[in-house]
Amino acid sequence: MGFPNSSRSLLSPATPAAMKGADLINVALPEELLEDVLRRVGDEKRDLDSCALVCRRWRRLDRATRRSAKLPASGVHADEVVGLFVERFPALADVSIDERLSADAAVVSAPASRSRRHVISSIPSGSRRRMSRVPRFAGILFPLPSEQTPSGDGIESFCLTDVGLTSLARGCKGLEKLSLVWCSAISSIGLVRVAENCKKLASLDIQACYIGDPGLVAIGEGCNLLNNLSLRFVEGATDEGLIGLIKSCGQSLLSLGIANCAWMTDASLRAVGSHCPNLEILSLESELVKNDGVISIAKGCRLLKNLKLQCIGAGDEALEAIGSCCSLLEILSLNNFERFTDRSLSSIAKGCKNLTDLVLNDCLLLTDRSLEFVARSCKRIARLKINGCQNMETAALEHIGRWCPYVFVENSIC
Amino acid sequence: MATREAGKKMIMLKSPDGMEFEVEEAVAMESQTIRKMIEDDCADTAILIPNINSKILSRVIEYCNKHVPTTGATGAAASDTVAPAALAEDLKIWDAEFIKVNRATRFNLIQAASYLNIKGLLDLTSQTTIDTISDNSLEEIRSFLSTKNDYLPEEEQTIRRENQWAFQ
Repeated sequence: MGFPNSSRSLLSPATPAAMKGADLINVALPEELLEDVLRRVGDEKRDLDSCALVCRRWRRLDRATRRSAKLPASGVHADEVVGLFVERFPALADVSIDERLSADAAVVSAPASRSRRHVISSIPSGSRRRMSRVPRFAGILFPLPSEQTPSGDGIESFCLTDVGLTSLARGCKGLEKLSLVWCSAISSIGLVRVAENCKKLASLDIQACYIGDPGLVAIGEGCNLLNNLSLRFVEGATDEGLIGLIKSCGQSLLSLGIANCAWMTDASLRAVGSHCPNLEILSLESELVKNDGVISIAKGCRLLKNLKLQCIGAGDEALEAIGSCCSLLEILSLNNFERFTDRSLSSIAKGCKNLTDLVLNDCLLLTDRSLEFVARSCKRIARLKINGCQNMETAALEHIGRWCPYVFVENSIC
Repeated sequence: MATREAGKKMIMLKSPDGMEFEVEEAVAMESQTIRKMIEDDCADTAILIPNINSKILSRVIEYCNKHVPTTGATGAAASDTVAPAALAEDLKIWDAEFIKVNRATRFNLIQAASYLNIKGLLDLTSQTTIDTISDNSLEEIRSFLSTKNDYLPEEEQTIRRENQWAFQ
């Protein structure tokens, strides 16, 4: 038996000299090998852009293989730019669309006298929510049939709409990670398109978007691989939408973050407790959540490793449940609690022996005894961050120093 | 040319331009392609490497010779006396010298490393090639890679403009 046959071009010693000054790498490397080499360029946009400029073959390979992109969501050309970009890069798997970035400067037909940098810096980060822009509530003011989208209805749009999101969903069916940041004109319609087309979606991050329940429910039904969901400042939805999502794809969820969603109550958390047995990371910031919600989580999500709570409505009972149910917990961060006492950390210390990181921010009722419990019981504590806990004194740290050999303490004003 | 040493199994590698290289089996098996042939009993007395000329093949063998001790059994003695970290550092310096070759040779080494399936060599040659992309101007990149610019000027302008659609 001989050597496996190769279809590649033969290397001959005469080639290099003959090719002097001409195209060496493209002659030497067949398609899949050049692709393999270019894959090592990494994900840096700047480097990939450079590759695309080298020659047509490199551009073709870049377009066929580029996986991640950060796209603009503001500007009258946002939909157009997203659509055209997606046409060129069908293999995108990780896309972030951000309204703080403007599409206008990049488009030929736009009055592009301003540089891109200038446009970005002209949007002050503090005033992202510009209510003067019409389309934010367009979906509500002008209810549309499901196939129609706001810009199709003649409403002038100044940012990404469901049209652009639909282009993305249809063009990049391999999408695995999607972040929508301040895309205030998109609605459930866009998310439904994502759910219909992007079956590999594993991570969805929605920040400050106005999304209705049907969009969330559709994501749950369509994206069975979803393992990471983050909702921050999401408006327009209700518990019903989130519960719908969780019922469909709760099994796959590993990480869930919900912050400042004024509609989310314990009802959603009960659904998380019932349907997300594999959840490992949970971050909750809510004023509506009560003990009941956290207790449901504790009972249902026994694999929790990382928990961050900022729920002023919850107290000792909530953390007692966490302590008695979530023995795998490694990272616990408690913020702005005015209701729970040393009882809470006593339970945590008893139940969560694997704790490595503890963050206590503005937990007013906690005293030195809390840290004594933790210090005596959780030997693996490696990082401790205490901030604004006024009833803790030096004795607390003495306990830690005495019992926990590996600890790194970051401490501002106890 | 390698010389026969007592107790070590030798293998003959032949390049298409008629050169023969006698190497230790362990060295040849740095190539996963050759390893598979040996393990499948497809290698009798000599293996013909059809695509790789003697100049490139001798460089490949030089690379494998240097790299075999850290992975193969023959390196037991060396790694007993030298700390692994120092050994790795030494290899890195050696690699950096080894890859100081002209472009054509480097591109041929990429192809040889891929064909013979020698991961370390493929990583080294590919990485050296793409390392230029981050820090150089387009003209420098083209010249370093030795690629022909087949764009029309307006085409290149369009790509530059389209590159602004997405953000860093």
